[in-house]
Amino acid sequence: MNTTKTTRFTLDFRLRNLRGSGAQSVSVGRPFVEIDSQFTFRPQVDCFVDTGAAVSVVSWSLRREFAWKQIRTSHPELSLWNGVPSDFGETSIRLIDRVRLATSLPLRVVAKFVRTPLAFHNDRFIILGLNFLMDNAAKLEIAGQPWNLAGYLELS
Amino acid sequence: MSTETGQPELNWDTANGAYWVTHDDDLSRQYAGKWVVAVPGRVISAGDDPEAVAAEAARILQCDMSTILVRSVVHPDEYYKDYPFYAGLPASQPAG
Repeated sequence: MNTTKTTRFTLDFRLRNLRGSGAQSVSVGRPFVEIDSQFTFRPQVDCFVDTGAAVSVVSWSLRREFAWKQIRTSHPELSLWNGVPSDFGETSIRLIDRVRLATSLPLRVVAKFVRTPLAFHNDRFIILGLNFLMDNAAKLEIAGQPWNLAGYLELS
Repeated sequence: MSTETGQPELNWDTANGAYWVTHDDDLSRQYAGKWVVAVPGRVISAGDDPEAVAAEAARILQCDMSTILVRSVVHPDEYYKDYPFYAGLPASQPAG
């Protein structure tokens, strides 16, 4: 009997319609997840999944606020993100589901920790790359329609 | 999957409030760049220091500050902006 319990965390795409000339418009968005990070208080930042990212990314501000440990590496691709110098390391987050009042167990985030502050998302962002899905045996499902995107991140 | 983590239970009102603030364009513009604690329909505290914002909210909500979710609020336009590229390196550096 399979007793594995799975939990689905809804993706929030925050779609926007950007207008071009005439009636042309394009819907744009990213798959955000809601996170919880436990310290003496619980800072929540913008966190989204990027299937085009091989490795997760944590912004400079968060590397100063989150507990993380460095992983030594000689691979240059693990110490640069879009040209931004980074350090390779590991931290953890938990996902939350406000509808079902559910919180995941701590999830491993092995990432590039950016060394420079950036204006992007107030420099408070986490990008979950494909290695996050592998490390946490997560399943990502996204379904598109001409008017919408919907999906979930499933953990077991 | 389990919710049993040994950590203090999250104050779900503040989680719902965080969602409310970040999905309301007017509020997001107003508080862009700030840390905010909110419950649905009401901003409890806001500022530049997340720990101070949490402490103030804990005093007002009369609950343990370790249960309070403090949200970083960004301008609504940030949600679709492209990734930044660091211009401080030579062009020969590979994009990660």
